[in-house]
Amino acid sequence: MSIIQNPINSLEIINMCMGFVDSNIVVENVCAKLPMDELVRVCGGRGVGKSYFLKMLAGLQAPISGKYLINKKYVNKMSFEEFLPYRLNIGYAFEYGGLISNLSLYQNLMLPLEYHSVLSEKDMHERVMWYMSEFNLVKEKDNRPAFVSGSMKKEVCVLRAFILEPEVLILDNPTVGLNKGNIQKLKEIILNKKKSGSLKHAYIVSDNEEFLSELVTYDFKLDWTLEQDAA
Amino acid sequence: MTQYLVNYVDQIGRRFLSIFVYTYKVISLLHVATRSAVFDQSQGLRQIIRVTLAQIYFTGWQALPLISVLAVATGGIVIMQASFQLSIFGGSDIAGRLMMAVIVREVAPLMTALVVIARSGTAVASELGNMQVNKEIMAMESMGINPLSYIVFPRLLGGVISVVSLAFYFSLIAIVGGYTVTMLIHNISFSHYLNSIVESFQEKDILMFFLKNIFSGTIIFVVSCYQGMQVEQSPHEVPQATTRAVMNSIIYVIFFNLFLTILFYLSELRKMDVL
Repeated sequence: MSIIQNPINSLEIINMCMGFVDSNIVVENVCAKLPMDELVRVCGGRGVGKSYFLKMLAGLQAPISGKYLINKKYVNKMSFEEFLPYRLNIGYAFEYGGLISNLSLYQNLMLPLEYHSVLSEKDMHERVMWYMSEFNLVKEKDNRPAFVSGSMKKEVCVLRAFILEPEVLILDNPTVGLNKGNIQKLKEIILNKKKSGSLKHAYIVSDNEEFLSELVTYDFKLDWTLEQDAA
Repeated sequence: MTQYLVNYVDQIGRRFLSIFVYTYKVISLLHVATRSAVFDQSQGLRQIIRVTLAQIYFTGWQALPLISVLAVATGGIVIMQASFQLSIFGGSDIAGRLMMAVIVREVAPLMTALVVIARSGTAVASELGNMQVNKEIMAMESMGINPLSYIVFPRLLGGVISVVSLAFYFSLIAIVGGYTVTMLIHNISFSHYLNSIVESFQEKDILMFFLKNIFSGTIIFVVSCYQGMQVEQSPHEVPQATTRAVMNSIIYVIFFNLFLTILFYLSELRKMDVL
């Protein structure tokens, strides 16, 4: 591997203020330590900022104010290059969208591997094909996202979070649009990776009780009225 | 009345300030995109080359038919008008020199820039705008791919190479094609015409040619990328961003070309001791 994936041992937010500048502030002055070495369900009511919170954990959205710390290091002040070793150890799946529209499904999954020269050509191809075959996507592998069904797009989007074999997984409603069989497969992949030790921490937003049962080991409530210290 | 005047001056001041701020932001994008592409060690060079080549194909190669037609038409019009007007005053031997001054120094860079703005500036702005709306740029960040080095820089590099090549091609086709078209109407000696062009050629022309086209290419693609990246959430913003990219690119390119032309002719006048 030519890329460096920094291990992630702690995630913490201090006096964080989340929301959108010029519109509504979702939460103010929140402090929390995220549970580690757990498969965590992030739960909370509608509009509480779950998706925003996950994006912030993945380093994709900065809080309006306050600090986000990974391994006690202040993320907001890091440049793209400084944050990269952490980012490569975080797999993130969007709730909607996020696939590169001018690349085929196969190329979408290959992109992070090729860009970071993670493996040999053969190994990259094998890894991508393994994930695609697990979800019966091989037939559609050369189609672009616009030419496949919504569930296939969603599956590729979720699978892309796994492709660099990160220690941290952040999934925003991963089961929306997936059929029962694929939901079960997704659950098995997560559990197998956790068992093998390649996946250490997962933060999942989902309402699908069937998917979450026997999967999550901790409920992290976005109840911003209280300070949380679950670590 | 005084209040009206104050408001008017205030508006002008704000307008100028916004132009400076906009220019600063565009230059900053150019700086960070180039820096991230050059210094970011983790980037996939092969991927960047692939995107650059694709940009050259779309901007350069696919524009050749349109550029060819425009070049032949422009070259033909200039030679026909020049040879006709100049023959009245007995100066048809300077048709080649006029060709050099008008086509190579002025029209080729400007026409090429306008064609590239119309074809590729709009395409880049709308493509990036749609990528923003579909969260593709954020997705790239989540995969550790720097959008500045993977999206902006290759388009910029590919765009600049295309603009320089297209302007060279335009000049060549305008000179040769224009002459051929003119030959159908009235006879002028090719060797005479060519000698006239070669004699009027100066070393400064090379510098001017590269300066104009490199900067025009840079302006078009940085402005288009900037406007595309400004789109936030709604697809409605995409056509607005595209329109702004076209308008701003045209304004900046024309002013830059005009500025260089003025500098060039001031230096010419100085050489002739007129200034």
